Amino acid sequence: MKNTIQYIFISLFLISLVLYSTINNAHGNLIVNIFYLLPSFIAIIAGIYTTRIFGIGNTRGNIFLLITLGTSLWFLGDFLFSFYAIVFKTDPFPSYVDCIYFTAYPLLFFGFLKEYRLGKITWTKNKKVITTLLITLLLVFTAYFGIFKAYSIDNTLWENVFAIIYGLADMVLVIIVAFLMLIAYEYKEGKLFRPWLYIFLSMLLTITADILYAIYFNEYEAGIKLAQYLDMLWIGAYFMLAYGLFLIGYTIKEVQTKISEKNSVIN
Amino acid sequence: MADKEKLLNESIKIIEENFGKYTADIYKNFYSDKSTEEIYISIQELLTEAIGPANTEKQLTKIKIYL
Repeated sequence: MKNTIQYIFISLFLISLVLYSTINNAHGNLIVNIFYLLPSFIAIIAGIYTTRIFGIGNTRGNIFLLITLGTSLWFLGDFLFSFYAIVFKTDPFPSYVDCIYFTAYPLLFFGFLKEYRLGKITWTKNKKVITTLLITLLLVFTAYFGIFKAYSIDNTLWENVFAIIYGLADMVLVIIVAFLMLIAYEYKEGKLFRPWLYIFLSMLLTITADILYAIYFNEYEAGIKLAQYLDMLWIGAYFMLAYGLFLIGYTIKEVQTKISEKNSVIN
Repeated sequence: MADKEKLLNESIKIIEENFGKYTADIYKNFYSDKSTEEIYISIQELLTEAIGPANTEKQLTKIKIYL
């Protein structure tokens, strides 16, 4: 089942790539938008699946509930951006849609922070050096391109404020990436290493796409094809998140099945 | 409280933290007639498979004293 899901995700990713390569004005196209929204929707389903397996009201269950809620808000934001682009042919920036996006960040942050704390992570010299380097590098890029360069005298006050908030939100994402790197490393040699690695790569890909978006903002908004391939990074990131979340739930389900079988043999 | 009961309670708490309430409930039933050593070996195997040997050691520090 794990492999089937993996092949489905890879196939959907490749179909999206073909669509982006062949359709002009991808952002105004309904099918492209559906394929863009699909992976974040699948990530919500994977999140619900894993949350249900852990159950709500316990620490891990609450962690996956927060991650699923955060992902749902990202999906809702993406959905509304697509909805406005297709139905009203407008860009809802800056508006309540951006606020929906922003609300996802604290939920994701607290979800991954709880996981970091639960992981009983110990700091070694190597970990300190690598984490500091990663955080510094990503923070410099997000601060410069996401905050400093996001301000434009030609924009309205609210456009500038919202653009800078996006930069700040990306800084939160940088901290999340650092948490995830440490969490994944902590579970090395365990079955939960791979899913957390996928989730780490997913957030790393998201932050990379966000930085590139800030750099190539004008080209992206003007609909230049090469810049629109940036969407593929977000699509790939959502698929990785979905697969990571699914794998965690699947691993726990396997544990439950194994012990239930042992119990039924004894009884 | 006897050491076995303390070990059992702590083990169930660790399982609940790592694998959720439902898994912890199944293990509670499974451990009911097991000795302290059997419980410890079982939880050690369970955690090692899921989160690796290094993190397992950290998680089990507080229940080792009941062995």
